[in-house]
Amino acid sequence: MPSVLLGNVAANEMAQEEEWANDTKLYMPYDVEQILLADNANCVAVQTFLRMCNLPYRVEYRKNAEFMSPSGRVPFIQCGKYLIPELDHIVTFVNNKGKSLTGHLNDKQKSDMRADLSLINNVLVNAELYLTWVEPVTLKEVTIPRYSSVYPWPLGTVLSYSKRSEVIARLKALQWYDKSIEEVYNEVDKVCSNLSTRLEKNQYFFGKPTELDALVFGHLHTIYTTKLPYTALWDTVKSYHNLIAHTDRINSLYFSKKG
Amino acid sequence: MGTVQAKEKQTMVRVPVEQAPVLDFKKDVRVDRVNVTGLKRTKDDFIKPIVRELFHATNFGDVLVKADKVHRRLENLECFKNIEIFVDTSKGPKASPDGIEVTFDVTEMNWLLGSVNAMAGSEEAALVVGGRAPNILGRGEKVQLEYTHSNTHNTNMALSVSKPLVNMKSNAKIKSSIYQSNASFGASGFNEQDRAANIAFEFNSAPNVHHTVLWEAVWRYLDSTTRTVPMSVREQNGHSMKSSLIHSITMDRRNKPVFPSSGTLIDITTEFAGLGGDVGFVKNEIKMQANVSLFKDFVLQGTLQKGLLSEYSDNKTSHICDRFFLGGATSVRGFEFRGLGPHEDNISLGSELYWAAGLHLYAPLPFKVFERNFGDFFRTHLFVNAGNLGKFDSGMDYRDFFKQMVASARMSCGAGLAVRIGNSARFEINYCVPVSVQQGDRPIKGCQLGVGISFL
Repeated sequence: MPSVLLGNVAANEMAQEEEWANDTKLYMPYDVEQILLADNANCVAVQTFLRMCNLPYRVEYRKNAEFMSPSGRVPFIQCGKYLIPELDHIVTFVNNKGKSLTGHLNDKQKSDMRADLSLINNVLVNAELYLTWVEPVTLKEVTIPRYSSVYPWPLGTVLSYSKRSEVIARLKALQWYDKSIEEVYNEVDKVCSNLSTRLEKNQYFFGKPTELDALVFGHLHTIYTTKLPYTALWDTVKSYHNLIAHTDRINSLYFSKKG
Repeated sequence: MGTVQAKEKQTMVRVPVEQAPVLDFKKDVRVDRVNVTGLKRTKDDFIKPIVRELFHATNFGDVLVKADKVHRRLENLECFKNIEIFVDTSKGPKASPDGIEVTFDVTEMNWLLGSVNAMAGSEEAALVVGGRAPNILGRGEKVQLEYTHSNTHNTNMALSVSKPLVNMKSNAKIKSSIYQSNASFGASGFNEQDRAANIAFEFNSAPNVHHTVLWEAVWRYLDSTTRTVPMSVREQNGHSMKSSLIHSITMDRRNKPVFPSSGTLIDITTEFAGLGGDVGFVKNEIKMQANVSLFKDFVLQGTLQKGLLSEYSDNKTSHICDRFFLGGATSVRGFEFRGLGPHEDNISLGSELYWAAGLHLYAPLPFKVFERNFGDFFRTHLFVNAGNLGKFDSGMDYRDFFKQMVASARMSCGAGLAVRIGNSARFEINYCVPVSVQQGDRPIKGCQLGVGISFL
């Protein structure tokens, strides 16, 4: 949606001089009974990023967060009078406030990081969407009951199927819909292997925590904590021990002590 | 009563000339036969219960009154484009001495009718394209498809099926429709898409007392119009489902619907939402109008409207699209559309309780420059409008509550010209002066235009 992005640029320019609002809110769907894999990963990633930046925020759970968001995707934050959806816009917004986690990177590292971010957004997100909305057992046992849980009959079923066709249209356009489930797991494996090689034995991808660490944590933590009929996705991921250690490290550092 | 007179003109009662001198309305007669000619696809058993009433007539005057009543009922079936009545003495071997024969000569409507209409509301103009098949199975069943597109890109598509229930004498009708509508309420910062199905039962409990009992299920989708819409409106975005039972009574005893000179109109609507779905509230609204003819053609009109929306459950709530709004050319004049009441960042939020009142003095155009018929289309008026919209604490003393509602009331006055359009709508151009305005309101001082059917 070009208008949304354009709006963002304008909002970011205007927001430059203002301080981070202490009553900033992060809007997301109910995480226990409603939220789905890919959305949850993004919500965890944004929260991790904000905690890494040490910026205060409050989580507001709304069943219609998806429709409140200016871009139609969750999560989004309300900082003062600005609404900013999704991790990449939020990172830009925070950078404009003078806070950046990537100040110590050189140009090559920055472009490496951007490549990894888009790899995750293109491959991991699509794999999660495939598993959530295409794989029939997960669709029936997890996705539809969760997505429709906040709506009355028969609206929940209708909205689930209209959301499904929306996601399938996206996957078709990106040539993901025709993949078999094994091919999907292979793609996930490739991404993990890439990330694992980049991380090596370091604590973080680029020395200090960056948005890449936040996004990787968001996805891996969600894959680990989400109960699905099949464990194949988690099985694919967990063989990369350095990634798992990275996830545990961020979890204990940013989430355990505050609870 | 104007409406009745208008219809009586159409009712052509032709009495043979040689009978004319002995016309005696009190004369005892017996209706021997009732003929209905011109029926093609209409079934006899559908018409019979309607005309049967004529056989109960005992004198000639009674025959005419009943014939007119039957004429109106036939007209209400919406199956015939023309109905003529002939009354004659009955002839033939079976004729009784005081026998009378009544013939209705009807012309059926075509199988399929199309129409293109222009329509104007308070904020927009629209084009309505429609097709209908009246009397599709021969018993008054009507199927209608309509598409409306307005200059503000609001659309509405509706498919409806209706059937008159002729065995009930009260103009009863059963009607069901499905529709999808898209509307943008820029003043309130939201777009609304509705997909709905409803079924209604309509009847008259007394002459001019019309009831509608309706069950409706609506799937609503709300969306913000701009990025800057305040959170209190934005947080209502998304899907909701309302299932409600609505009862409305309209008691229209005015002599005509536009520029009446006497009579009252009372309109009461009660809506109970929450039979399934996730939207729940009780909404009551009453609209009253009284007209008093003063000297010459001067008419004094008083109107009063009141509405209350209350929620009864924590799980099922109401949304911004369920609330009341005030202000605009057809509401409290001198304020922009929805420009009266609670606002946030210039976005009208609406509320749960309102009252509005108006006092108008209508006069014909001065100097009688126009001929009577042409002048009938115009009225000048002086008006005072007042109203209040908000959430008032009803837990307190009744008098305190009343004081609150009056204390922050808004008022405007002005003068203008009203023009009649067709038989139900009117156009107004007014010069308005807001007299009492509260913080956040969007008043208009100066000219305001309005087109509509229902005005305050």
